[in-house]
Amino acid sequence: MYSILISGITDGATYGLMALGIVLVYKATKVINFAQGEIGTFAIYLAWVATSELGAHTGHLGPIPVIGLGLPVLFGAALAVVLAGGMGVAMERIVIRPMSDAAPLTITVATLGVSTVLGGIEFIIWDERPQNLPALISGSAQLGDIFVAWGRLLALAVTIALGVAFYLFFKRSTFGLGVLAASQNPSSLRLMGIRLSVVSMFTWAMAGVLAAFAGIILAPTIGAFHPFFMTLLLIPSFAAALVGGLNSLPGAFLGGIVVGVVTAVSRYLWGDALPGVEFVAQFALIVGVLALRPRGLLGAEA
Amino acid sequence: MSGGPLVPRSRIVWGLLGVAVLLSLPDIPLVRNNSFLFGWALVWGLVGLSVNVLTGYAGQMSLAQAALMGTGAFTLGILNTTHGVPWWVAYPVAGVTTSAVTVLIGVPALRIRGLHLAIVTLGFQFLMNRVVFRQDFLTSGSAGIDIERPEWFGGQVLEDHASFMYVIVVTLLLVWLVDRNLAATRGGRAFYAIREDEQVAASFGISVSRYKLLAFAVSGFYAGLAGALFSTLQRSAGAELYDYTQSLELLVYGVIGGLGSRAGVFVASMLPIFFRQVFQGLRMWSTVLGGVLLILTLTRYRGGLAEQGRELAHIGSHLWTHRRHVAHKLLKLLTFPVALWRHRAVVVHLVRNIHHLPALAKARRAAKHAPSTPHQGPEDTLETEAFVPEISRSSTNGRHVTSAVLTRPAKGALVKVEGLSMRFGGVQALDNVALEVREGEIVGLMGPNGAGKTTLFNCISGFYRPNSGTITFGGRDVTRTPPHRRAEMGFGRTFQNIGLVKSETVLANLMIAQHTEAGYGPLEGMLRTAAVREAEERLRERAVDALERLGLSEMGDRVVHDLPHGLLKVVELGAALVTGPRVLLLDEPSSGMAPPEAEQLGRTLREIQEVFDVTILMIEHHVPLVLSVADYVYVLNFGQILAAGEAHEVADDPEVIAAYLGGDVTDIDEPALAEA
Repeated sequence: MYSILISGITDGATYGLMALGIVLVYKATKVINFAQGEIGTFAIYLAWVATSELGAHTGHLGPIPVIGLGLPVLFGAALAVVLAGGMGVAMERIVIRPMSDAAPLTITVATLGVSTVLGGIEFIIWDERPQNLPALISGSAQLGDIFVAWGRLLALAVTIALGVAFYLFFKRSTFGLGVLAASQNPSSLRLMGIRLSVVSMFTWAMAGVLAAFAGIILAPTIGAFHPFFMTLLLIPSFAAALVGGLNSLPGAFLGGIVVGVVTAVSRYLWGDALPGVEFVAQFALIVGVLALRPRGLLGAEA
Repeated sequence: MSGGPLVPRSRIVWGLLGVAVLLSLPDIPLVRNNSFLFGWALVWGLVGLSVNVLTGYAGQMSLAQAALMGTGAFTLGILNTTHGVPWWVAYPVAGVTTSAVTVLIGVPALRIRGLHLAIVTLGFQFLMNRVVFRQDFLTSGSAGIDIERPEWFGGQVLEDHASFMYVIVVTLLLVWLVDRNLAATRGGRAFYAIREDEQVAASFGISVSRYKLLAFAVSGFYAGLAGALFSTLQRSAGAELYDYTQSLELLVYGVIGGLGSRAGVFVASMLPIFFRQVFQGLRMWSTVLGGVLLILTLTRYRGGLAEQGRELAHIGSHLWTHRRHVAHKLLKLLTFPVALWRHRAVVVHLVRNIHHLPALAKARRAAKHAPSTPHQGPEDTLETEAFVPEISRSSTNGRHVTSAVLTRPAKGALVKVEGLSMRFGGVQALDNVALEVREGEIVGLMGPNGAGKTTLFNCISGFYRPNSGTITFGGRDVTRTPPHRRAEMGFGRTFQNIGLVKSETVLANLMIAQHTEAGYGPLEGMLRTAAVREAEERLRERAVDALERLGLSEMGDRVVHDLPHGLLKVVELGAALVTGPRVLLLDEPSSGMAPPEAEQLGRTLREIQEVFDVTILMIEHHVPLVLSVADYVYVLNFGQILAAGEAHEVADDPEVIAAYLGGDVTDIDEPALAEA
């Protein structure tokens, strides 16, 4: 039972990372970023390419040959995170900024378009075959009488570290406060000497970075990844964001843990009788929270 | 604007043409040879209509349309294959079942707005596709259910795709007709209002939650039918096809088509099927293309295919109306070489003296810099001139009063408020307020911010229930009557912000404003019964009549968000007046207006009062406006009536001046008051 709880918490930490990116974008722009998942998947592919054996791989890599860079795992991961941030910036530049006067719903639809393009490109370049990303750390740690993979513990540690860093950044720095104020009072930003375009770019870059972190941590623990891999995680991530409160950064973590534990427990209890029970549990969580407490656990009244 | 058929003739011609094309479709060789592909595409067009109802008309984003199709497909499979229910029963039941399931996801929508709902539909999509569709006892698990082709009435089984395509085409035509009726009647107008602004919709008496559920139900019905049709075409129902990427694609192509436009979304929804054929199995190229097209639609080509088509049609019709001119130009262009040859001497001369050209140009430039009178065309002033509506005194219903009522008439009180008190927590918002509005009067309600004016309005129109006191209307106690009943009794109201559906035309807004008076339900609307047509004609006449009396006849076809603010206020008055209220409650009609506009508004109100024979009670901050237009004025301060009387009496009341300016009476040197 403890091992269920621990895997729930460690999975939940990844949902929390995704939820953090979603909440960040929502707070700054009132947009729900459906591309969060596919930026993550793309980052996994980039990390995989970077860490694959040196040289051109053809044949099993689909129609286009892929050049492996043969980098060390940590290097490859760092490169992917940076590139994912760049993807966030590009997305902001190409898609979000030209429609800055549009309603949040319209921009949300545009993020769906971005996820479609990214997922489709993954399919075309790397086809649908599942691939494996090497874990940053292998082996497992012994906690009492149960074993937990180091990768999972690392996920938890990274999540907590990132969470604390973000929290301090948003609560203590002027720029961080500016990002949070962006959607509520754009004119006050100008008075603070912060450019709205910079805030917007930063927000989307961070969303990309968080998606990449979540993906690179999660892919090895699940085992294999494929196109639209992280989009499957959108459900628990949205559930996490909603449970915590769509406008609360600490809430995203708490929500992630709740969703992770609920998912793990439901799978343990009913998984054999009803395959896919976690989708039922997550759907019930989403509907339940929205119906009973729309602002979530830690969210402020909208 | 006046008269004319409800549906323009060109529309009927196009409609008949469309029907003819669709019905003859299975006989065209190209289609016959690719009948599976075309059948598939047509079904996808039908799903497109389901996306269009929910997202295009009602503005509710859904990522579950594929799951809804799947629900229809499996319902048909279970009914027809497993239980042997005849297909002509199974198809409608598949639609209705899907409709019922869709309403289940619509229920959270009653409390959830906008984007949160998209998340719920996404969760629903995964739930259905990953869990429900894969249960052995329901859907034979991953194997899916085999589905047989229906028997035609003669007993012949529609084995080949082309003959089954007739079933698809006929279903599509029926759905199209129903959908067109829905969009053009009360239900459709309620959807547009909800899509633009739920609060505005509610202020028109539209039950937002009921109409949202209706949108879900209708969308589910279409999608369920489409799923049933496709599974029959494919001869099996399986979970694979109805997955998240499919839902995503449907929404994406819906946007590309131009949500809200039936034809645009229909055509666009068929595109990915043909793209897939073109890309030969590389389904993902069409997905990527879809994403790119979507982003282009949203960032550059707003309105999607429908808008592009409309623009093309506009250019086409423009060319057609100026066809003689166009032909003339073309002819000129064609005869240019001939002209050159005829004037070859001049050409040769020019070419020979080409070295003189720089000097010539210089001389010309010098002439241009010489002072000349600036040219100003009449078109410069045309745009900036404000439109001033002219109230028509030739009322068509003849119950107008001809002379301005300047003295308090001896008629009885229409609205009477006595001993009204209202408390919010520890704040006494209204304290023993009494006022009286007599028939045919314009009564002003003034008072500083927070005096309780809007609270009093909300009590009178029924949005708040007072703690004590009574409100009578025409002698009847209405203190406990709910707001929509009061609206029926003859209360009209405007709000501080513009309460109009901005995406729709002025005329459409006046039709929406009559929502509660239409007298027929959405189902009747979809069938467009004789009663519906009659009611629509009546609503339209009333709307046109109200516009005429407001002097806005020219404005009927203009979309609201293109109009200037001052004019919007008049349109809003029109929306409040079109239902023929006896008393009109106006909350700050001059807010956001420049002084000259407000002055114009004063005249407009006076005229409205006469032409529409309506009694007006208005909250107004703009003191000169109140003093110039009101027969009687009440001043509210700290929830109590501070002063009451005719305009000039109140204006001179030192207490009123003190309350307004918050200082000592002797300090006052306010030109605004002196002006009146």
